[in-house]
Amino acid sequence: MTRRLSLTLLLLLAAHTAFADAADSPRRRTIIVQNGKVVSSDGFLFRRVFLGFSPLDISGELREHLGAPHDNGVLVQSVKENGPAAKAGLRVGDVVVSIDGNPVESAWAIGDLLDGKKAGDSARLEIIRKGARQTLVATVEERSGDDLKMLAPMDLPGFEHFKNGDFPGPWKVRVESSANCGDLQVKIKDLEARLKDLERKLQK
Amino acid sequence: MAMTLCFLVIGMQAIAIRHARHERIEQLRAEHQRIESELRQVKAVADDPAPVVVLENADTRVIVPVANRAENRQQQPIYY
Repeated sequence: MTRRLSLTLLLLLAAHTAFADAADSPRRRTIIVQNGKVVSSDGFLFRRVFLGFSPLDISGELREHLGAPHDNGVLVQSVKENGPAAKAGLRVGDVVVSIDGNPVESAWAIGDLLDGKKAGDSARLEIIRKGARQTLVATVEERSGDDLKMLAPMDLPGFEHFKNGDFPGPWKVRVESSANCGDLQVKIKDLEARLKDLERKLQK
Repeated sequence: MAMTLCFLVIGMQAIAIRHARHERIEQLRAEHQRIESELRQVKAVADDPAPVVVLENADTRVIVPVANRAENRQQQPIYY
């Protein structure tokens, strides 16, 4: 009798521990944004700090036409008012060819070139303006909550902190092919398992 | 009399159980439909040849097809 009672208690304890573990382990949340259900504008190059200019990828021929090297340089299509780049003197129509001596090969590369910078750090921008090379020094700034809100899927549950401009970090950003995106496959498997579970319950 | 009352109580109980079971099944069906639809959408993203951008922190992944961003880029300048 005592042995049976001990065994039962042991089983109950094991079950409790298993459930407690499941509850404690953080569940990964995967948000997939599609067809306009919010959309962040610049998430793929998202960094907490920024320079405040909007780059445009241009062809090698146009770069050369503007006096930049064939292989690097992005055209400045917009400068954020009172942003770091504006304060440093960057203007629409300039071609940014390097940041801190590193060539800017595409708009996508700029985020990586700002990697590791903190608000208050300086960034040396080498630009071409009217065919002449110039160097500007900008002090990178932290994005405001309003800027960061652009990244967030506002209409999805669990993203209240985005609405408040509070961004728990650090965030990493990567680009993957859809077919090889591990997070998508994990999500698909999770959904399939939940469907099977529901089907089992419905059959009972 | 007591017997009739007893049958009545049992009958009401049975109806209540049946009703609860019916509601539960309806809930499960609704959940099933919701997940099925979600799965279709996720698979559509996975099958899309366009690459996806994954924003990742400790417990959250935000996955956005690049094509969506391209559309959005037209609406608002992107500052770096």
